[in-house]
Amino acid sequence: MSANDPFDAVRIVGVHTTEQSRDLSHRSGFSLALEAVHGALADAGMDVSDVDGIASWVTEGWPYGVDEPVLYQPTFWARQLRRPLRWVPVAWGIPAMLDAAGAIANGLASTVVLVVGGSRARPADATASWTRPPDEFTAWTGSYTAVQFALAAQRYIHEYGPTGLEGMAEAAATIRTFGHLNPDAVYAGRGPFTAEDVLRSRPVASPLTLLMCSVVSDGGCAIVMTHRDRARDTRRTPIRILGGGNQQPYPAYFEPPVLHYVPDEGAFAREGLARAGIRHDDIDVVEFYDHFASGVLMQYETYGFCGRGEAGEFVKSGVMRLDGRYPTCTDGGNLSFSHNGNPTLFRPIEAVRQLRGDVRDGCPGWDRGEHTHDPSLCRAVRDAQVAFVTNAGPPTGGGSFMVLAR
Amino acid sequence: MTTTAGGPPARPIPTPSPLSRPFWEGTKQGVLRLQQCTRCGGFEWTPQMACSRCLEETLQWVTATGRGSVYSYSVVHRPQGPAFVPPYVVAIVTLAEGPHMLSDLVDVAPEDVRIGMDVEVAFEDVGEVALYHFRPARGPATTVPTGAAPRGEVIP
Repeated sequence: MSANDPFDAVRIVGVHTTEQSRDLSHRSGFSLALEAVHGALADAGMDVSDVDGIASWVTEGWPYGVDEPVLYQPTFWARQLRRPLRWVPVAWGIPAMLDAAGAIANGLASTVVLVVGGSRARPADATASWTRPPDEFTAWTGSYTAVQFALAAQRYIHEYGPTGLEGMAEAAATIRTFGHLNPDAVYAGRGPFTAEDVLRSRPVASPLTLLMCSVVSDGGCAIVMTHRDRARDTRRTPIRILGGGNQQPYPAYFEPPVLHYVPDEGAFAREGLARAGIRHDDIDVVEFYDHFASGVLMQYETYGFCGRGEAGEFVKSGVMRLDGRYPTCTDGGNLSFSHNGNPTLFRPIEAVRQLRGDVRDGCPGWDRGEHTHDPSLCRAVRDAQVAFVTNAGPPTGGGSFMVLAR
Repeated sequence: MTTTAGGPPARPIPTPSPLSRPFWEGTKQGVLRLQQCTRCGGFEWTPQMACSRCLEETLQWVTATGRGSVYSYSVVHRPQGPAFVPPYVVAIVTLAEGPHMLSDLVDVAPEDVRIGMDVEVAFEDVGEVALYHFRPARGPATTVPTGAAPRGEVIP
């Protein structure tokens, strides 16, 4: 580990996920967010009097008739909490966590809550609203998010061969089998799944089939970050941030997804891992942002787990499974656990739970931290010390990442 | 973005911006326009404020060939919304001038689409604007699209 770790003073001390479900439309996004804030603070052994920063992505339920932009929401929270907030995020998910970590490390904030509440996601007759940006060059074509990923996936298979498609099927099957084993997942108990199941499922946008795509669901979640000194008397094992990075190469969905838009799209990750003093060999568990199975393959390449064009074979070899080298998306991911409109925080939350050994699955002693590591029951990674976590980038790979450690 | 009220749902109709208006005036006239840098000659798509190579406000609208090849495509079975009848084909076209353009493919069966196939623009006037589909290329580049100005001609 690097001696000058910029985040050495920062700890993740609380996490919470509410019920995740295909339909929680009897509750507002704010209601789910509020439950998540209370839950994450209780998990940490803290309360709202500790909080002086909030990063918020809540779909609706706000006063003033205003839901967006996200940048207003911290001021709404300040009014709700009757206390000024000293830190205002510029984003959400991992970029906001890195931003918050910098603020905490430098004394601009002491305790930050990141929260998401998503509800009433499902229109009756169309794809989820967030998949349909109303861009003048995109919407009329019939494109939406799955199509954008399909275009990148089709080109990937064209360039690197049919093992790409087989790898996408294997990725989806592995992730959905983890979700099958997670009682808290939207699709708990629906598996297990094979690659053949995935390829045989209903086509959505070729080459992507239904089981390669995210669920559309409702739910809330929250994370609490604080200073190392304050973390000493919190309830749970504090989790460290060893490093991270962010790369956003072009406006996704406004521009067509063309592979290798950035000539060396993995440079930011190599540099970030080097700063953190981490090699891939040190990583025990991977929580990729699995918007679509194709994106999982591209992230293995972007983040240097394998070479360009090699991810199909890499995944087919079983690396993602519990008994593989890099168990990946161990809660069921966006494909099966939940995609509540903004699932960015679910990835670090699952990493925290794996690092704490706090994983709910089919093992009889899971609540005592006792796991069988039998892949037909268990989704807990044995003695996980270091987790690699990502959030979304464009359909061609990249985005943001963090390395977390216990 | 507007949709037609009443009747069967209409596909989303693009709303031109001040930046993109010359492009949409072109499609209405049956020509595909791109921005080209007067300094380096590079082409831009989508419409930009400045040349992405020179970072100067040196772009002017020119008439493109309307030709290209399929970079990638997807046969869509789950439609974006009720205005779209599946299966339909969304594609990225590598234009002859270089930029990649998102569009859809018409006049071709989904199972016959291949990456690399030659395509040409096909306009559809939908009232407020004309959409720019692509279809399999039918003839040599010099004759298509009908009425198009030679490549690189400047739009006043």
